[in-house]
Amino acid sequence: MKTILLAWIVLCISISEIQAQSVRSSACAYTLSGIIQYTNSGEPVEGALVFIQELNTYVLTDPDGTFRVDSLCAQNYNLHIDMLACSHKDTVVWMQENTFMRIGLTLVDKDGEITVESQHSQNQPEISSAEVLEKEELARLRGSSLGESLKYLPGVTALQTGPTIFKPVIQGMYGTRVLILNNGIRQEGQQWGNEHAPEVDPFIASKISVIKGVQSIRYGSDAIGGVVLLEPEALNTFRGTKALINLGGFSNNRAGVASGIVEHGFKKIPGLAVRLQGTVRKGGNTRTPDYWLKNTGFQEANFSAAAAYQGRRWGLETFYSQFNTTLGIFTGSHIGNVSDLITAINSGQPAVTSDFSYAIERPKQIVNHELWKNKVYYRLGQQTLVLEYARQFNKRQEYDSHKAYNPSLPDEPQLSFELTTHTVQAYVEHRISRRLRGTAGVMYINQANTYQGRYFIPNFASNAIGVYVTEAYKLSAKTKVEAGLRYDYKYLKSYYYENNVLQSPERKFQSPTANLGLLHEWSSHIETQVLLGTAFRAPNVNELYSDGVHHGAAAYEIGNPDLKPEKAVNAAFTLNYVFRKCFGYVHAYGYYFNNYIYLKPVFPPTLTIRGAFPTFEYTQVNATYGGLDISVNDSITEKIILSARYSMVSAYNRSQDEWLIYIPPTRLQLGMKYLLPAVGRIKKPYVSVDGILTAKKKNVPANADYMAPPAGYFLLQAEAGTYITLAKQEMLVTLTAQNILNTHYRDYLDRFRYYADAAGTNIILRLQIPLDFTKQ
Amino acid sequence: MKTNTILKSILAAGILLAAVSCKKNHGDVANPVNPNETELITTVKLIVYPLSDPSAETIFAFTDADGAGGNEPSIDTIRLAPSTEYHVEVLVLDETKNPVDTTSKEIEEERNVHQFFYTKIGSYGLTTNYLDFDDHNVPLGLNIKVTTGAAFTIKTNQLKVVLKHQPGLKPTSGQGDSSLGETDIEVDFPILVQ
Repeated sequence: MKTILLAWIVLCISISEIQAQSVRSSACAYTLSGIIQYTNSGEPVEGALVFIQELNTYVLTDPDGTFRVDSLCAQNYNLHIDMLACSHKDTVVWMQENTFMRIGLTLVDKDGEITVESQHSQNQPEISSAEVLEKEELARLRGSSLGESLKYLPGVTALQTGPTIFKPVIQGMYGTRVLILNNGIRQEGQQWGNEHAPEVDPFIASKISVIKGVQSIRYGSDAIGGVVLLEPEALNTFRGTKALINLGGFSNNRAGVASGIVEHGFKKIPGLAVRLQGTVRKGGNTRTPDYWLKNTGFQEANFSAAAAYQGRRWGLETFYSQFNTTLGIFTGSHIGNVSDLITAINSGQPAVTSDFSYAIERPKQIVNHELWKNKVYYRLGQQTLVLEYARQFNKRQEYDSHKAYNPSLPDEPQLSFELTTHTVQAYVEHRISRRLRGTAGVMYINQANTYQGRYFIPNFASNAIGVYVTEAYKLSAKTKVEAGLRYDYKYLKSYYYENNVLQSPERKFQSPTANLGLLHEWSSHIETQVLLGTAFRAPNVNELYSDGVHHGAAAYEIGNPDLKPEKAVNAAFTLNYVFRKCFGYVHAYGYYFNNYIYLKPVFPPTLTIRGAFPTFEYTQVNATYGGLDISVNDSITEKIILSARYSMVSAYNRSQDEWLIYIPPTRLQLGMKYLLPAVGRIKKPYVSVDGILTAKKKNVPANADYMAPPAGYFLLQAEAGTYITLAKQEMLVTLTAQNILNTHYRDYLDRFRYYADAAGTNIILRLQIPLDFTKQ
Repeated sequence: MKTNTILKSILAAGILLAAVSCKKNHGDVANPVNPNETELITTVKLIVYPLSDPSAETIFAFTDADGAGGNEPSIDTIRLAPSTEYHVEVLVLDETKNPVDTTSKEIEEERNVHQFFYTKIGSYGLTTNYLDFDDHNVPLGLNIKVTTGAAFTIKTNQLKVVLKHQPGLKPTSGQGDSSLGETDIEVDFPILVQ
């Protein structure tokens, strides 16, 4: 969490292997040649060291950045590339013909990190403010759910339903305003409920990025708050067998997680590779400082399989994944009506007590998600044509605490939803000149949703299409501009009963969106970017047609079938800086919404046989968001790195002149990391301490919540970690202690704050074991 | 690992995939579930008769025929005579079903996890006593005795009837605890004692 990387540092090294020549020759007569360039300036790197492990020898690059190694056999060669002030880079090359490689290096500060980004088919914005988690950073968060892993990034928080359900919040927005891209595909689930966590296994990804701000152009007009990208490591970059095992143990809820990946790159069919991945997680009741939270266990079993073939000009990928989870909902949070809620709030402590248990009883959720994705790409000169098809199936079952009265009825969920989504997209990544490149594409989404049991949202069928083009133009070596345009059309037909009469209203939504980004490098130390974007979000079905008591929320929610699309303009300014010993950024943003959709309290409350329920209706208002994220890292000595992260956001309802509810409170995180010397097999050991200060939420609307925002709180956390080399494999071991002081606290964005305290001390042991059989 | 083994494991994985893959929606999009087909509680009926004359039965009902939302529920005013002892039986019904589903039978069967609670809203003379109990001799409250006090003319007095579902929570001794569990029913009947 400490060394959170800047977007442009992440682009630190990029490697693209371009096999240019293909002269067949006899064994051990192949030539490997290449050029090494600085990625940011494109200038050649003179004097970089290219070490060939198998030959135990090295070559240095010429003044024009080129190198050449002769007399290579048809086998794997491990290359280690080093350059002063640049990060070290390892790669493997499979020689079966004369090969030419292009390798990019960028200057980084001492503690910078490196990544490999394959040049083809990333389809990501060139100018953006992104937070990236990968390698060590990601390894240190492994075993938690996606939302929980991301919640300490500046500008990112989590909307929580107790200790197990986390929904990512980016720049104060969540749900349908935040997109999750799993392996390039928009994750489609039942995002409408605050207690619906993303149905994703984070172990699938080797890199998780959060792109902040409006990202309409590539990902969809509704990506208003931002986008979470989960990307697996590229296959077909190696020959042989590799595996990675992740293990984790959590003391608080006695949870365990085990995840494994095995991949194989075929030697006989170069370019063909397969991967199998699986994760199991199980946890019991969570403990707050004073008591256990009954029925907060979970169990999860996920797996995925992928195969990829990469030819010289074209490639093929298929990916299948399944996510299956059963989550207990804290017994004390399941309430029948608002009197129960008031009783729970006034009692201060849950009436239901329990001991530790792994048992999951009613109320609970069972959620399944299935994704099958196929991708083909073809390279034609400077263009890459990509075609993707994906099918997703999402099933969500919610069990109330009360099973049916009628004993002859089976033990079924009271609410059940099934959503099938087909996504087809095609895009061309093109390079028109050395200065101009971009992407043009089209995306089609078809959805069908059905429900069983109690009505909350209707059955619906929808068709949506979006066409877009985005181009980046290099005005000079230091200035780049990126602009994009998109047009979306969505058709929605819903089916539901009203007074025993079947209704089937149709709605159509369409709008253009545009964005503009400008990046300028003032010096090698300072870079700024300005982003402007518009977004449009068609109202979601729950916003249009929901009608019912929201499970556990003690609220009667009523949709508004006449809602218009929500429109937003977003402006963001980011300043990135890197000096010799410190780096960081300042990111300021604002949103101006028209027809912002939100739940407005209405009177009188809805009277039902279960008592009166406060009633909320979806309404449109004009709203403004503004926020600031700051990240500072400073190596005061070679051993000590200090870091500070600050984020704040406010949102205002301009139509009613009041603040908006459920906006994250201001947070400040201060950290210190101490790098210890390596000893023998122990490499890169460190210890770190972090303090996280969350302020009490100010700027909340009057009389719109059952309970005032909870007090601010301070959490202390510490970590020790190291790499250990055993049998040529570099194992990463980390030991983390969260909430060391066992602080009693409740978080404003936790729906359980009405009922119980948040989790107490949690000690986590994580182990990452790579098994790389390609190493000699 | 030998290529052969790898190929076999891929084949096995493929078969596994084929076996589990591509789940489909069970329902038909154009034919949604009519919410009235699901289990509902539409009606709470109080069947009241004076202990002195069991034949003089009156019924007061709280009815929300279309379930939560939609049309407003209809609520009868309980009218009782002063200084009289009454037997009150609670009938909980789902009147959207044919035949009508008598949920109170199931509440009776699940007596160890349910309890009715009766409270007065306003100050007037009225006492309630439980007449039925669960297996631990803790009250259930489907049958109670109501004793009225002096007559009054205030129109704002109410009798609150609450059914709590208390799985694993209902006390096994004493008179029960209304603060526990989830509310299944909460209705306020206007009451007049004249």
